[in-house]
Amino acid sequence: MNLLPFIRNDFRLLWRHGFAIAYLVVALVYAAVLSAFPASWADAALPVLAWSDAAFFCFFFAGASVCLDLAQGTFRALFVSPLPPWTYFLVKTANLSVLSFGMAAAVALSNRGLGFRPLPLAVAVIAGGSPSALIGAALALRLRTVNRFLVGTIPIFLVLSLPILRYAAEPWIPGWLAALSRWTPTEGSFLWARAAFAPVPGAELAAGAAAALAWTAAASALILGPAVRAAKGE
Amino acid sequence: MIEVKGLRFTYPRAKAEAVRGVDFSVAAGEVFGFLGPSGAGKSTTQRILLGSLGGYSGRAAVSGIEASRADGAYRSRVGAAFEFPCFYQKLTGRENLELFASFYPGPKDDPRELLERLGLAEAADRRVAEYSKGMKMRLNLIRALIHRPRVLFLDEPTSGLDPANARTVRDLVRERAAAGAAVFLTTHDMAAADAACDRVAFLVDGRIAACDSPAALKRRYGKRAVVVEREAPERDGPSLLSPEYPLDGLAEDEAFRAELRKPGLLGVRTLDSSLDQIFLQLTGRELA
Amino acid sequence: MESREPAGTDQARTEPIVGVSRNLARLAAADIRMLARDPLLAFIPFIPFLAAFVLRFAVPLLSGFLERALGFRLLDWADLVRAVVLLFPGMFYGMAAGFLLLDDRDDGVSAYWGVTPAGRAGYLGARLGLFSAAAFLAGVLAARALGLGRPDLGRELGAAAIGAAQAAFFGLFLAAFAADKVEGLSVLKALGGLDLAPLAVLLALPLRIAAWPFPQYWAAELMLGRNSRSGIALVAGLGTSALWIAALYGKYRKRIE
Repeated sequence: MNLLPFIRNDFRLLWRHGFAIAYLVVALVYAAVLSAFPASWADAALPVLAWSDAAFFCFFFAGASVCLDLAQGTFRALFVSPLPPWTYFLVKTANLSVLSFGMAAAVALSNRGLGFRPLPLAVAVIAGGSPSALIGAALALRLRTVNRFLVGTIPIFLVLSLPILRYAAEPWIPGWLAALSRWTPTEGSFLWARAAFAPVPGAELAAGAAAALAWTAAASALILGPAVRAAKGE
Repeated sequence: MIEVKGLRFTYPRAKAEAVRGVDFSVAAGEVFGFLGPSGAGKSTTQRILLGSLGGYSGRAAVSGIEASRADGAYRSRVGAAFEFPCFYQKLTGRENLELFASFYPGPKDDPRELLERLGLAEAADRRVAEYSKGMKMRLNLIRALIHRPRVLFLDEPTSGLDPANARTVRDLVRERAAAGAAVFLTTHDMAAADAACDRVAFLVDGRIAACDSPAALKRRYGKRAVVVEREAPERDGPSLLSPEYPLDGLAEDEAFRAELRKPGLLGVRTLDSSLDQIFLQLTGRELA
Repeated sequence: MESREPAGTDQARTEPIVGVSRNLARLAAADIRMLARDPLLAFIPFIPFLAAFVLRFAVPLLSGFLERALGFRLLDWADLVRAVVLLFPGMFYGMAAGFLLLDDRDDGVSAYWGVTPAGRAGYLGARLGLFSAAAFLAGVLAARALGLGRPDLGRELGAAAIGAAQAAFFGLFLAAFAADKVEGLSVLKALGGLDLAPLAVLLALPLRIAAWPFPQYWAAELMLGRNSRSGIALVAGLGTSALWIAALYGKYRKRIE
């Protein structure tokens, strides 16, 4: 199967529905806010912003994309075609990851010039974007409408943001909350996002990548798979 | 091509069966009409055959492969046009076709030719959001045909179309059947079914109540008789109808022959039933 | 469509006050029913309070970290946090109003409103007015739920008024710029940057001018009294809100006609 037309048209949809513009506007706001901050604040905030691009935007827009297919009925047409469902989710995740990387890199460039490492940033985007997008898509399949997705995913959003809480306030939060944060799907990605701007031990990075991979596999098999089967039957 | 035997299905949490032991088959080159009131089980049967609904009992197979095991190869043989056309509204007609066609392997038809044939060539580069319902219906049919499927599932393909476009659609469907495709057509439009189908089945409450060619059904459910129609004696008056003459022994019926010799002959009408009347008779319901 | 609307609004204007208020009550009841029937949408009214409670405990924690890491005492800026919390209801309720408007557009109900005596403008005004009133009340209460910063009812009422206007701002922004709810999500993401507008009170002057067009910034100025007098901040906050709402209403009208 030639995936190029799918990738191209999915990008067209991201653009025409304003998703790409939303990325652009937020990147500009981030860059403006960072430039107004003193350097030490910006250094502390950069990894958080770079990581949130992938972890939150991929989650949110993968869900929105699925809601779009549900609302327009295009899911039915996709399901009767030979397109394997995993290809659909792979293409959506990949396109959103590319946008997230562009946004994170643009914000980093605006603040640091070339003083950051693009490779760890790319790993952070893939490691954060993949599990987030798959979980977002699965929840959208279950919740079915934009209204419900928007509100119903708030608890998941809070869980996905735990790594920031640990980063910002580890000595002051209860031990169990810090431990829980280490086990969130976005923790591995956050380590790599920090590595893009400051040294992080290699062993921690390896563990982070492994955790992201495990979360992606688990999200596909345990959450997305059943959600796809349930959506097909409806 | 399509083989259905003893098919039964109950929706989860439903008490009654939606499909209660349906048998039929559709051969290559045949247009098969699946008729019945809303809620009779037409869509359920179609969804099972499209591989979207598992958990049925009995046999439902396309080209010898069971629908419950529908894989990529199964789906690439099938083309489907749903009753409510579903497209990416922000993509143009051409972009939508390019996207969906890319999922299917093998040779495909030139989208330009199909767009031209169905009167969409000029609108091809406009976004689908700007299309009228009729335009979406025609694009829907093109999407189902473009990968040259061997089995076609069409749900109300002429709904919302003007008579000229409806005719083009029927011609296109007949051409695909002539080229060897099996066509499974679901509709409420009895005239369309009569014009397009080789055989039709009436589905009532999950069971097939009658299945044959439209002509045979019309004969079976109609009267085997004719009437002769003549001009009215006064201008603009209603035409005159003769008494009924039974078809058996019609050639030797002297009264009938005398009727034909009277002045002002307009025509001879058979008293077959129409598919509409058969529908009412079988279902006891008006067309929904 | 053009010819129906003025006729509809004229009729609404000549209707006795009692009739109008009864219609308003009916619309309010219908909106509340719609929110309540979607179990998840029903959650929206409570989100600002939930956020206020979370911040009540999270801000002191975060303040400790920031002080150690950057020498910045966040708790000194509790009034700024209070301003942000006061603005939450306007944002969330406006979002809910915007999504209901988009729902109505998807269902074709908004076109129907245009041919009723209330008229499309009456319907829009009533819906946004109701959500704004709710946001005003919720803003004052959410600030109390936060419990941080110094309570000052006068300033809070002013900031809550600016917050209430945000409900109309968000609702109209969604309805004017999104074709459907999925696009509403992208509009919402892009609007997310406005959360940061109150932080502009921390900026020095030439940079700070960039925040002047945003009512959220003036609400923060009103609460803190850092760079301008509270009366000026209130007028500027309500004035910029009115300008935004007028511009967005114009854009919304163009979209539906």
